[in-house]
Amino acid sequence: MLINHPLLGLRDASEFVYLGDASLIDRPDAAADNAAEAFHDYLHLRDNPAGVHRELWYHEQGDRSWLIVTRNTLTHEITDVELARDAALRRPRTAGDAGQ
Amino acid sequence: MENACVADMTLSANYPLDGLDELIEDTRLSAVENLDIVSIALPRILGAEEARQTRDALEDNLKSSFGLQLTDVGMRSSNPDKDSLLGLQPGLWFLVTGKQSSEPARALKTVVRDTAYVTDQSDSWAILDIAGPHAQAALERICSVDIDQSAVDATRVVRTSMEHLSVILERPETERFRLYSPVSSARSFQHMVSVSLQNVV
Repeated sequence: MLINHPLLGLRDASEFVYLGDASLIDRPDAAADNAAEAFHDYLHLRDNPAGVHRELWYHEQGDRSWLIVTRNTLTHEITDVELARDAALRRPRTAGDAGQ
Repeated sequence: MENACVADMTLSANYPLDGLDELIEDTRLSAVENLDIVSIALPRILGAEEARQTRDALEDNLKSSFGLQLTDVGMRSSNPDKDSLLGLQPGLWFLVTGKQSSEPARALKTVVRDTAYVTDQSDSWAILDIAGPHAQAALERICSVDIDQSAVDATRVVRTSMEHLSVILERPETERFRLYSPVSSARSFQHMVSVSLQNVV
């Protein structure tokens, strides 16, 4: 499987480490009233879709970037790749970002 | 304390691939020594404008002292003195120069001042040159990246894995590649490249 790295072009999947669901970049606000419940869900609950899935990959044997790869889990077709940094910077900032 | 027994000796460091120079058919594998390698890292700055200004200031400092352009990730700049700047990851570069100082990071800090963090990496890497008509074929056997001249020339740098080892690759000349791999696995690194070269000649 090849991943089209936004900065480096096509690179073999063996250079990457797979982490999982891209929602992991949306860390809950530790100061919120429902923080315990939010962190429980953040740590333990995952969707397991048969189809399109946004997931985090780390380019360990390359430029050490975190990528968000949109991949179809049935066909392995990759339809989008972006830097996780760019996706994180696009999000509206929350109180929980201050300590990160 | 009187009568203390202190050995009269001087310690000197050895290079990890000490003096390697191997000719296989018409392609040469040789250890590269006497280089200073210093990593340059931009500080983490959240404000986009402030981050851009810091990067510009760092680039000005490197241009005025070394004549080197601050490159994007995967790109390499060099000067007539054969110093090179390797763009390895967002906001991080390796500056590779001839041996200039016993404390290269301290010397470079006077150049970059407060625009970046610097770390001496000179003793962390085993460095090999592989030069000759079979060099490209030998490396293509052991890595998954396209290293043809059309994809990797003197303006590029590649960080990838070769077999199981992490390697930084640059191509200063058409038939000469320079490889950097962590010093902790230097002999495995040498063995891997040497065996691959033997298999293609």
